[in-house]
Amino acid sequence: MRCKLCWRDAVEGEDYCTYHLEAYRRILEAYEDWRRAMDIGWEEFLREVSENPATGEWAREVALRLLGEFRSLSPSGSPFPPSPRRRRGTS
Amino acid sequence: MSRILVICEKPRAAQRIAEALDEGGKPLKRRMMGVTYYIARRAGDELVIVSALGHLYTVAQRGGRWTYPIFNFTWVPVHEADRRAGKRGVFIEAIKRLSRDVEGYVSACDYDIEGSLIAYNILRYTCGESSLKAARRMRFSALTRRDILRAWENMSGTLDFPLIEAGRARHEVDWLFGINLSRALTLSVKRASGFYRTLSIGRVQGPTLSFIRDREVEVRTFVPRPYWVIEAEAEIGGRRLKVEYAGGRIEREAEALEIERRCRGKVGLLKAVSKSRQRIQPPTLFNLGDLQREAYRVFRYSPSKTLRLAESLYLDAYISYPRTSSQKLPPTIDVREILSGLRETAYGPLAEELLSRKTLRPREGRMDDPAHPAIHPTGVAPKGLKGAGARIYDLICRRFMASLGEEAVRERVKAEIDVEGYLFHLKGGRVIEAGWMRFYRPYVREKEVELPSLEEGMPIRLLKVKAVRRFTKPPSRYNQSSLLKRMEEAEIGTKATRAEILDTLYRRGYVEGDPMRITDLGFAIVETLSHYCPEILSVEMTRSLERKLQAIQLGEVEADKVVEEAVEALKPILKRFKEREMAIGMEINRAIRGDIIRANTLGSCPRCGRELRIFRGRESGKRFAGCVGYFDGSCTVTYPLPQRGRIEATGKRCEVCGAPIIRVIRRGRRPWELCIDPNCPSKGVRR
Repeated sequence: MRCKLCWRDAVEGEDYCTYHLEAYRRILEAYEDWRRAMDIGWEEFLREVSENPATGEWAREVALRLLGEFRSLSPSGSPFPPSPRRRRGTS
Repeated sequence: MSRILVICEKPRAAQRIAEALDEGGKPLKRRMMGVTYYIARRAGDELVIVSALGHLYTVAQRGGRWTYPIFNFTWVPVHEADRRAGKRGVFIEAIKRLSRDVEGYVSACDYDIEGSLIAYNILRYTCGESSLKAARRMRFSALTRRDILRAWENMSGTLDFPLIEAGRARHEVDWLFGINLSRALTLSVKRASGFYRTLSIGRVQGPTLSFIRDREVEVRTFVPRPYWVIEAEAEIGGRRLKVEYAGGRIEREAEALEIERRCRGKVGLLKAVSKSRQRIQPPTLFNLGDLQREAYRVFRYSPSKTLRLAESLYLDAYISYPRTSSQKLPPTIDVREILSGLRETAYGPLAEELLSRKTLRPREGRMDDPAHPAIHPTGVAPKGLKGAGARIYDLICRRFMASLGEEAVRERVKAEIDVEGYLFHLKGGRVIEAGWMRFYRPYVREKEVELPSLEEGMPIRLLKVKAVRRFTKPPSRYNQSSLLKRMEEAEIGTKATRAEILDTLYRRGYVEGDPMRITDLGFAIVETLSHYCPEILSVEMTRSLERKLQAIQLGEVEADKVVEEAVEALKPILKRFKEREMAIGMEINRAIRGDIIRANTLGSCPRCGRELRIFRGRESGKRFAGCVGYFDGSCTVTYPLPQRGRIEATGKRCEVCGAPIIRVIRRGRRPWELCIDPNCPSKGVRR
């Protein structure tokens, strides 16, 4: 089975590949530290982490998925929502 | 009168050596088959001085097909193994003709394992086995007249066989690993996909790529943690100065806010002022790694560029041999003579100042190299040196003079301010004795913060106190300089080959950018190898082989034995590889396809949001950008693209029309970014 976030094979019995699984574990560990440091809930924590420029890209992908905001899961997919403001160059 | 053939490593070195050895300083310049050689007269002998073009012989497969495992090899002329090296064949032929009627031979190649091996192979395969017994070896660390003549006078009676054997074994072992593993990778992809793509891995490349991968995983899985700092400013003597909360990082927000609340707008008391003096030692002399790192720090030159520039300076006799590990200068090198030479250059006043001292002893580092001293200027005044070469020369000269300088002294002032029981620090510092720093400017990192006069007990008002949230940062990705250091620490590769390995990683598409980011293909290579043959990525195996190769140089182990051990180590790895070739090929191929798709994806379609990729027209062969929705008939958006140069996605969207912004990179031109839509109104505005 493929990882839910990239083209790699998922670890058996898990949604993620080794790397995204590692990122997921790190997010869980970090949440404990964040809670000790400040008054913060799970959703707000995920939003903070996903918007923080220091967050690694795999950790961000996992955070966004956990937030239910990650639109495309393929490696070449764009994480940006479509913005059909103009249609030009149509052949 | 005897006729002696002197073999040099490069044409520029041959010219210098000929000029130094000829008693009149004007050797006769001759050409044979387009190869320049020199005739010099010395002590009644006729010296024929000819150069190679680096290695003229290389290891190659002995017969058979393009497959693996391959353990049959032989030494052949480079131009037979590599058609692009045709010019070297002419050198071989010219040397062969010049070696007729010669009574003696001298190896005057660079004094290291590569230089020794270059001359040995030429003597053995071009001049005949018997020449080896009649050959002698010149040893020098700089190409000045003085050094060359000294090397001529003190020539050894035989070739340096331990170095030659070490060089031979290194080439053979590297070839065995490189050819077998690279073919295994390339053939696995070909078998799985039907496509050919050159892939390579070697015994040093593997662990190096593994370092980059490990760091990349750290960076990509990093989750920042919050902490707080107290940013505060105080007014002292009419100046606004930053003060630091003595408690440093605060782990909890509540605690930080409490400090902010209690200190804001308060007046504190200056509790104590302490002054201390810090003595800063001069920097050590450069070895190659130090020079490459420093050149990267100050000029952002890649290690391979620095090496190339330093070698050119060496061939012009401006600096000593750069491929050295040594940070030491033996007493036989006359520092005063070098400085006297530098008096004639732009460094005159600085050199004069050093020469006026009674004793001159450079600061040396721990590392040593039995063959060569640390990199230093020779004292020969450079002529017409400019650009990057001049910069490297300046760095080397200033470092050499700085190493001879005195300690610098820095005065540090630290004041403690008590505000409501919380302690703040005010720190300042300035250099009071520049010492060696004067010689090393502009490359010294100096930070001056001068404080106004401070008295204990004086009241200090805090103008600003703010608890600021910060976040922990991921480890830095490797850049070429830090990776070189990591390779040195791990004892993999040699001072001469490390820079080349980094270039190969870029060339193969395993890494990109600086700092270095591993590509999906690089990831796939490391993952696959760590799964099926982790030994290739193991630092231990490479390091143990390096140590054995060094032991050959010391005469402690035989070269053939080390090569045999390498073959035995490779056999099980290649057997396992062969058994799983299809699976390995499929994994790597998936990454290659992912890389190609990513490289061709320019952004998302402004109409449907799916991918815009680069395609080529079937008939015209011209490239254009099109939406992938075309394949299922859902979208027909296309845009024309520039036909020349490389096109990259920027990840940005045009603010006016929402179409992707692309970057076009053409040779000799500055890259430019443009909206992919030729009808975008933003272009009309610009026109």
